[in-house]
Amino acid sequence: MQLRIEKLNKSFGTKHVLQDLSFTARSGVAMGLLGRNGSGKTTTIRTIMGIFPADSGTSTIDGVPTQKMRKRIGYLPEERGLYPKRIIGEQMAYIGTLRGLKPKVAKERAKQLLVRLEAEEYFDKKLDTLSKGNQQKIQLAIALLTNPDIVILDEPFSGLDPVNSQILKRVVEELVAEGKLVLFSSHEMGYVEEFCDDICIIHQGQIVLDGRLRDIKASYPRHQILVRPEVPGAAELKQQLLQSNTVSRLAADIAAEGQGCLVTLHNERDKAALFTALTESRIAIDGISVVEPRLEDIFVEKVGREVSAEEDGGAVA
Amino acid sequence: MRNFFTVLKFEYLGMVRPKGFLISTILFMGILLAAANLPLIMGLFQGGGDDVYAADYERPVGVFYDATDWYSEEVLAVWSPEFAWEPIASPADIEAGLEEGAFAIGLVLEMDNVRVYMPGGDWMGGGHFGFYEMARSMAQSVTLAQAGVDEGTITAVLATDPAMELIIVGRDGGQSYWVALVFTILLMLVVSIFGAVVAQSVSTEKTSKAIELLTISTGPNSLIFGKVIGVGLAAITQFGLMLVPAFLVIYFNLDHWHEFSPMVGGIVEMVFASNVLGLAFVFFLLSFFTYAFVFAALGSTVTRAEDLSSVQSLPSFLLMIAYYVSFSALFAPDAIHVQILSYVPFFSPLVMMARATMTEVPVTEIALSAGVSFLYVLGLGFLSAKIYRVGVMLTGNRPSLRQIFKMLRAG
Repeated sequence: MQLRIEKLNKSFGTKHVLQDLSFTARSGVAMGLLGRNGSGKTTTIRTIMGIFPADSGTSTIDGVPTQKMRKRIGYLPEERGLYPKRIIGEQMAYIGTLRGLKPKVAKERAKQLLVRLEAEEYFDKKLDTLSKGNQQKIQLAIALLTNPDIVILDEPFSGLDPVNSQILKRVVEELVAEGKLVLFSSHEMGYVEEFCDDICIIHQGQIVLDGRLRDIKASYPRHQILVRPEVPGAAELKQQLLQSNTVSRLAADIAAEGQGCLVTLHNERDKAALFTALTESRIAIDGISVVEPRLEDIFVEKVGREVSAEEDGGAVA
Repeated sequence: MRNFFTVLKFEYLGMVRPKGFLISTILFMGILLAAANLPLIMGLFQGGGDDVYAADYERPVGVFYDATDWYSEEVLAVWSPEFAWEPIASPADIEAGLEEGAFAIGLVLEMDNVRVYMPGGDWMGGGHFGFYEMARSMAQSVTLAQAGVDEGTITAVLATDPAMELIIVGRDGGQSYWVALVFTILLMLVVSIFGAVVAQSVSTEKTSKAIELLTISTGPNSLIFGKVIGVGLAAITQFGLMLVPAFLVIYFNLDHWHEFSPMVGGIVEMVFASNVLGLAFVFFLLSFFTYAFVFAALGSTVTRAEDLSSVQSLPSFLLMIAYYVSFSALFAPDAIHVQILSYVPFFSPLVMMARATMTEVPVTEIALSAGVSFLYVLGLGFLSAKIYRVGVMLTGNRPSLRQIFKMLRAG
């Protein structure tokens, strides 16, 4: 199953919110839709869900418009809310029935999902008696009521405490393992990095970067090496590295980093030479690893650079 | 269609399940049942018969000053048996005695004049007219006696009591007035109360953000029609539970009501004998749905709960105008403005209801008015669904009508 977004455009008044947005998401893979506040993530998702009509462009699942496939999509909206004064089980059965389940099945499924989310005690409670985080769990359960093939979660981690975040993380991992297509927007890079294979960074309604996270990271220079000493002590290790002629020659910079040292090479092809020099030296080393760029760094680099350019341009203008 | 019934059931149960609904229904049902049994209840308090009344009832004291020498305690007891009459020597102390509560009524009886002194609290009682009748009869019999007429003839003359029968040709205006007034007020009440409930319900979906989830789960037509009809059914349930038992009690106690109040008995008889109930039901549905769809559409444009009252003012204002026009129809059912407005949507259900109750309106005209209203309600329902659909996109400040129409055109 493939979700394909092609040349999506959407304007509100004079503001062009989405500009020729195109990306693809696949089953069995979690895709993270990243962007700053107001970048167009939620508008993209709402357009996919048919809440807003797109001005132009298409959004299809295996060639069928997503609007016709809405019952196969589980959706957690960014602006969450249900009926505050109604019983949770009743509301879940109601939405489930509207989404095509038989009332009895919807009720059963609601109970099962609440158990899965460790929220079964709320089935007979009114929504407004729950904390915001627990209300969010109920909304997540509603998104999964119909056992959808595609799950779209808009900012699923916002407002969750660490325990509930772990539960949600586990559920998302299970969904991916079950072969579902999971698309979620977030600006919490840690979670995205943890279980997203694909990412798509949106900035000002345009895609500035998308693809497999592994490939994206691999495309960055791998010229930074983290060296961890046997005996903790970053300052001593730095001294020892600077005293090594070979290391000093290969390194453009040596900086203490936590309990170890970050060696930045002049040339990433010198990695092997550095490893050999370290092995042959008398420095007691516990581990050596190539430092990959963090998603947050990539995000800041992509979006931050754009912002800086805009700000510069704005200043000139 | 399945989703329409799902929404309808959810909304209906959401209305009728809360304890508040149950308590208020039972409370009003009890009050109306008590009112329906008023003649029986009052009979119980009166002790059930004249014998008991005479034996047990301690009568208030009435005093009289007789300047004619015609009257006695016995004569006064015949005309006004509810008082224990005592003669007094001078009328001077009557006012002070009444203020002190020494007696309940005072009479000064002269040949060509009768003065009745009553405490201020009894001014609406109307009982004093009986003393005028007493004085007139007494004067007539004295005059006849002075003219030499024998006592038997005098008694026969005074006892002459011709019966009067009023034959009303066509609909009884008095009864129709009360029936139309009661139904118009009831209709206005139900429509405004439950219309506001619809607006509240839609705006809660909007402000609680449930609307986004709902619009991806089903179409706006199912949502709006299901909601409005669900609330309408709840209104029918509540008012049905409150009114039907009371009506049935009155209907099965019609004889008592005729005895207790011939006017109320006549009104109830008219309601059951004519087509008023059917008309009221049809026009209740039409007026409820006309306004409920407007309330629903406006409720969906609200982004904050505090804005709700301001958007409700437009339909409330229209409803108020419809009420006043229908009120004028009670006095002039054939006035030209009443005839015109009985076909104009928003006004027609209330106005035609009042008009058809007050006067004989041809069935074709009623059907035409109801038909126009029905088509209008249908159109309004679909428009309301479209506005609801657009409403999901409205955030921030409340939009102007122009903005809403612009968004509707954009789809």
